[in-house]
Amino acid sequence: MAVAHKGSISMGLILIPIGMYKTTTDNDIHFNQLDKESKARIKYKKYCSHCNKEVTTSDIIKGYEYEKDKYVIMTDDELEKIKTKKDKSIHIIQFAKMIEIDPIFYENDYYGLPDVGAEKAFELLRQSLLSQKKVAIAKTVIGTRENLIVLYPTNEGIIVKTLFYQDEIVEIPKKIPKMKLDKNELDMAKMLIENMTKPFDAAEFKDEYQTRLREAIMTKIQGKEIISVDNGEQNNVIDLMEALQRSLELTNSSDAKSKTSKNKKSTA
Amino acid sequence: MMDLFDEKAINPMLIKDMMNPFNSKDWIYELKLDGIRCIAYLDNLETDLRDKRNMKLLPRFPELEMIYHQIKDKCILDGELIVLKDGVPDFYELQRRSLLTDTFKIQLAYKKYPASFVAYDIIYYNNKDVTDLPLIERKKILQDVLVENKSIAISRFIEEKGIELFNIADQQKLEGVVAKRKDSKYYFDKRTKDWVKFKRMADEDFVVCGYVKKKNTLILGQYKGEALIYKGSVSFGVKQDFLSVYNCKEINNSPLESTPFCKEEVIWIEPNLVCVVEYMPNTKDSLRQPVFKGIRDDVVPNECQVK
Repeated sequence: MAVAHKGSISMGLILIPIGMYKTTTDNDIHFNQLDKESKARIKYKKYCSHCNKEVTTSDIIKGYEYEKDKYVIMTDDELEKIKTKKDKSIHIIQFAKMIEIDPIFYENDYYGLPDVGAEKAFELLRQSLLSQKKVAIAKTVIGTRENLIVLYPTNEGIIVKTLFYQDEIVEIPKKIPKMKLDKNELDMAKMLIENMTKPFDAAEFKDEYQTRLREAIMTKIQGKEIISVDNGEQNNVIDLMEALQRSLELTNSSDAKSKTSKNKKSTA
Repeated sequence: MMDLFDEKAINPMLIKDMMNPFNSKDWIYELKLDGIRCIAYLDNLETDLRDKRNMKLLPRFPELEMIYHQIKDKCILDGELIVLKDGVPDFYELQRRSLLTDTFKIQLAYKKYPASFVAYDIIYYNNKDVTDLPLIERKKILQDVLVENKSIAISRFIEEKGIELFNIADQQKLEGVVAKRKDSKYYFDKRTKDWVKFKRMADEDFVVCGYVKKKNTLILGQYKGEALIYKGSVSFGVKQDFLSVYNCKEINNSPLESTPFCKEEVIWIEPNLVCVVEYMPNTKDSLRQPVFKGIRDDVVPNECQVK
């Protein structure tokens, strides 16, 4: 798996270089659009809505629509000037209790893995965080975005969680009115919950549409191409290695023969 | 106490570069299979495969999950993970696979070209480190502990006839031959004179530094300490959509210490991608008839040091 981002956790005087790796993969089947007749890929062309001519990257500039059909143009230079300065450090700002961070702020997860040589400092941070049930809150730049992140210790490593900023969280659209609840009703609801409680096992749940889709695609592919004949228990690499061994034995014995035959008769 | 098996942090013994093939009674010779170096931790519960950077390989090669059933006792094996195409190891196919993350694409790939693990050494057996035993004894243990099937094999070796084996490998356009002293011990992360390879083609790892679109050429560099030095370029085998396939990050300035003159426009790339380039062996320090072989996921850029 390719590293998604590299950076260094900076904590006091210590720098811990880490790589960040994605924790999820997109397993959904994605279709390509094809032409009905030729079965070739459908491609998009960009064109100008004013003069209908096709445009290329060098013809395109960026505009922000501040009112209907009114744009303010931003040049690349102007954008470059205000871009966040590249900063590979992951600056730890503070520590906090794990439970204090509302899960609503969590955006994306990455596995944080120490670079070669940084394992010890990394492990020190992980273990001390875990034993105190705390997380580190830090700032870093990923791409051009300034990210607020949390370093979340687990038994296996550290999960780097990017956070939404406060202003990105939308307020609850409607306040739920406080209701007076009957004790009996509440007890019954609690009992129902109690009865239906069991440990959560993620492996029990599958996207069944995707499973059926995969099966359907697999069947079609297998119908189309004869899957390289199933060799059962045969191992091709053993064949390859043994064939070479054998041909070596053959050359050896033919060498030997030609030598002995040379010795016997001087003509070959 | 934590031992080799629990720690799972082995750096495999390395093989010394290119020597002219030789014959000797004190050595054994085996095929060099063009694959990914792989350490296999096997016990009666599970398989755990690691590459040279100690990254887990099983997620991308799930068809090897059951190989732990093929051993008689808990052990650590050293070997090569390979994918065969038309009967010979195919590095392109292997590399294509190692970049996949979509589990369905992986499934389609292994139905067509299943990977196998070829063991050539044993590091740990019967709860003991066996690296101090001579190679030839380790080979015997390996023979006893492993039952071959379609996913796991033992590397065949021959005695004495290194030159002959190399010639056959050469004729069949296989990567080459590894020669090992019969009495060699196993040293972690060391390149000794006891293990050497004879190769048909030379190859080296380079950091991809730039791309010349007009000529479909990659600009290559290697590190000298912390400085990235220009080492040449390669066009053959480079695909047109290189930049998008490998998700290259374009940068404004050349990452090289001193930038070579180039008539065409160069797209500079953040130097975090390592590739293997194969070339005709020569005495000069030059890339003769270079061919781009693929991207290496198991090497970090700074390990590509000028030799």
